[in-house]
Amino acid sequence: MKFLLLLLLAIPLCYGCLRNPDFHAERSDLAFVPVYADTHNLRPVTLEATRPITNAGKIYVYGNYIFQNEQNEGIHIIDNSDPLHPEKKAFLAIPFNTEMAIRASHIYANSINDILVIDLINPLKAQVVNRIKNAFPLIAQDYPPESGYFVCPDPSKGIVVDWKLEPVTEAKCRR
Amino acid sequence: MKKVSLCLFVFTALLQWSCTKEGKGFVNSSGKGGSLARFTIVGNYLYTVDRSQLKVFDISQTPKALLTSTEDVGFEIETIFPFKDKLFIGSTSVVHIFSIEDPQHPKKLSTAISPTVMRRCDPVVAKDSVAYTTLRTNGICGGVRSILAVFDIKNIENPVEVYQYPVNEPYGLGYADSALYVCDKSSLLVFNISRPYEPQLVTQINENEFFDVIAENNTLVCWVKQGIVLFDISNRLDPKLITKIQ
Repeated sequence: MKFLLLLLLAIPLCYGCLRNPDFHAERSDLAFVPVYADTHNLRPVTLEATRPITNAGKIYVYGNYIFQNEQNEGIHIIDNSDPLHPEKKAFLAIPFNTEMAIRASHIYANSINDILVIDLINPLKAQVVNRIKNAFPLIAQDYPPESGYFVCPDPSKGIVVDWKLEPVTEAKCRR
Repeated sequence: MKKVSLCLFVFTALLQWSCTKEGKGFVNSSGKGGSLARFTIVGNYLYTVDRSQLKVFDISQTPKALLTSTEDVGFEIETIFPFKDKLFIGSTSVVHIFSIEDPQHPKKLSTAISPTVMRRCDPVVAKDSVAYTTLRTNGICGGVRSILAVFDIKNIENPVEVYQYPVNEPYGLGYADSALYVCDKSSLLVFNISRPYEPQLVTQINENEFFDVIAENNTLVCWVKQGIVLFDISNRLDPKLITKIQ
């Protein structure tokens, strides 16, 4: 009986958590806003000069190298052969990349909804050797990483690749 | 006779060479990811987890990647961690354990559920008969508190939570021998796990925001907010700062 009562009490609570259509944020309120990808004009995968790590992402270790994802932008390649003096060697620009794994000197990395296979035999001459279409759907698409109000994604604007906290006048979705 | 023995010698040497090459290749040919990874490679297979599915790709013939199976795992899948012939898949509420004895077709063995923390079960690492996971609660819909949970997985089909350690806002974790490293956002916690079911906090490093770790030989690679911090872990329980990469 007690359990039933609790359950009844819990239902409206949960409902409130999921969606509150009456909410209109004040002008000064922050809410998550979808960042859409322009999938028609993607930059190619290229090896570029080193650059500062600004939006640090996942890490991976392979042989004497350390890799760190720059969220949604690509991978920093760091030579750690001298453990006291690790050195950034290059930046592998991969549009909308967040994940990676390496085997036999080939890196498996996501880009939008695809998995790319990139030849790293010479890390300073990295090149794409295979693309598996629609193998790994982008994670960010439906809702932001934290609970709260957010601007509902509009599929007609393209794929949601990220979320940014911004002042908004209206944020109707919530979770 | 001499010729024969020489031939035999060459043959065995070749055999040994190819064995070592094979063996080494198998063990060392893939790298190591952190506990927050969604991609992992075991042997000739790449395993990926998106929000709800586990996919297996045969990558034995580089650069080919052939999808061999797709499994519906559940909701809100976030991480994948391999240990021997098992995969530990973390979601926001539970840990799913799969056997990859048949590497092309993972088979679900069990689900580890923390009886007290209902939301935000994040990454998981496992060794032998124990699995560690951090359960983070934040935001208005989150659970009651954040903990490091320890599961006894001696019976892999029935994981049992045996210990909880209260933490602040945990993210990734990793281990090296008798040390367990837990990223608690504003600090790195170092636990002694020589008694694996009762981790003892031995030290904590407070200088960065830590998100994940990879312990590789004597180096602890840490993902911090500004990039990477490396620690020397020759003494497993006493990490010494080497350098930062930004």
